[in-house]
Amino acid sequence: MAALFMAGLLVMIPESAYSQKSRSKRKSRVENVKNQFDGSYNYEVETVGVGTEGTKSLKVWAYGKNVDEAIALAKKCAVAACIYRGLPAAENVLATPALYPDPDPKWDDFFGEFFDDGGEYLNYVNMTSDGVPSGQDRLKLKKGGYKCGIYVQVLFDRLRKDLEKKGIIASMNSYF
Amino acid sequence: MKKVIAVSFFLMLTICAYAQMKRPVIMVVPADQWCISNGFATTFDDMGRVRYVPDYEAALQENAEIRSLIASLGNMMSSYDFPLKNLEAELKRINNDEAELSLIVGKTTGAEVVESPVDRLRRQAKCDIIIDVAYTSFRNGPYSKVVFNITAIDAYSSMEVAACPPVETELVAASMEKLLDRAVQDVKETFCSKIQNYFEDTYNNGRNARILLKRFDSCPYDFEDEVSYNGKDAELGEVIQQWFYDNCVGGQFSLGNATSNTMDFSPARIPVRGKDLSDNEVAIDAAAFVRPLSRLLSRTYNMDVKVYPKGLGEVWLILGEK
Repeated sequence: MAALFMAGLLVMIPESAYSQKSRSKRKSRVENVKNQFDGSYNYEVETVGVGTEGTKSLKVWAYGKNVDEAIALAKKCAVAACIYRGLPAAENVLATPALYPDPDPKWDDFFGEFFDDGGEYLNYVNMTSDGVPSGQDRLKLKKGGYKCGIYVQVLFDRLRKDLEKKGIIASMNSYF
Repeated sequence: MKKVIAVSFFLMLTICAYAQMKRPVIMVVPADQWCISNGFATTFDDMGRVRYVPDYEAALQENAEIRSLIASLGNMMSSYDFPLKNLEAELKRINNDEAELSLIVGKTTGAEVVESPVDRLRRQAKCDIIIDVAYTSFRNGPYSKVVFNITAIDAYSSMEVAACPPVETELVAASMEKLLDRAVQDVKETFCSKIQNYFEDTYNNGRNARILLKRFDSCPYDFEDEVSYNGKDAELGEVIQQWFYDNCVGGQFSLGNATSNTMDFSPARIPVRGKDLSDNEVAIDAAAFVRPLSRLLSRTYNMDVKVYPKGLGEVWLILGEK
């Protein structure tokens, strides 16, 4: 009996350590997403124009240790701006309200995965000026790192519909 | 386990039933100003003053731009899974109905379909929310430009549901249709999110409705006559107001016009859900909302009440006869 108990304990300790590790990893990923996108200081978005059929053309500025990191983050930020912050008005284009301005903590895990590197957010970034930005669009910071600006087209309607389907945001039809 | 499943299923059904509200009909209509300035209006002399009446049928038949604008707006609302009622199709349907009704005769006696003047009057294009659109176009060398205006109005309370500031769209050598479609894309999210906010507000705080009370000259009471209510003396109008306090969402209503012959409650926040005759929770409109008032007046004060529904958010009650 004692041997059986010891064996059970031996199996449970690594399992529990593993799940704790995975939980803390997931938690840190969620925190990371929240810190990155809830703040209003670490990325800048400019509406360039309204594309055809439910797309938005944006110019997004993001920071990174190197240019590649800044570009990758800018793509995430473009989608995050549509979801959390809304898009500012531009000449002849009205401001676009955020799709999900008051995040509910119950969806933190989902958005943690959504904004992971190579995550689902990439489905909504249709076209970018993916080459290395130059001139005014690539600024080397005094403290180190880069601030890069890229042009991004976000599939806004598709993003909205997918969030509606998942029940994260209410659709116009949900009241009837 | 079976009990848990059954309870969960019942709760889900209750939530689904609870989540219902009657779907409003939305229609895009060219603004009066647009119709008049583009020559799509008829005029008549109203005691020396020239009045204009928009001629929507002519506008839709002769102006390709307005048709394409309506199509773009239809496409915009379809992307939100909320199809619009098409004004042109509705006008055609009304004309067809009229022609067919005049031709139908009974097989046995050759009897004609009975239609009162009110039936004929009410056979018109109706909707609950009007999307009022207008635009002005300019040309500057190779540039074409439009200034586009869009407003959504509640057809009953005349309250603004959604409005956007005028949008200017300019393109080089573009057709008007392309420019208008672009203008629609420019306002799409802002406009639709305002409509959605309005639906949410209606869902949470009740529908903005207009309830108009009138009396036939045969009615034994006017709204200033003293009646007995819960053992107290009160004017009939006060009793009716008390009913609105008790039944409107949060007791919210405005009594716009009150005389001895008229009471105009606009807007009154009426609940979007109520009980049907089988006591089930259902989505209701203004006519269903005032049925209990009609019964109260008829039972307590022995007067017949004509309930005349005008749409989802408007009803007239005429006291004295059916």
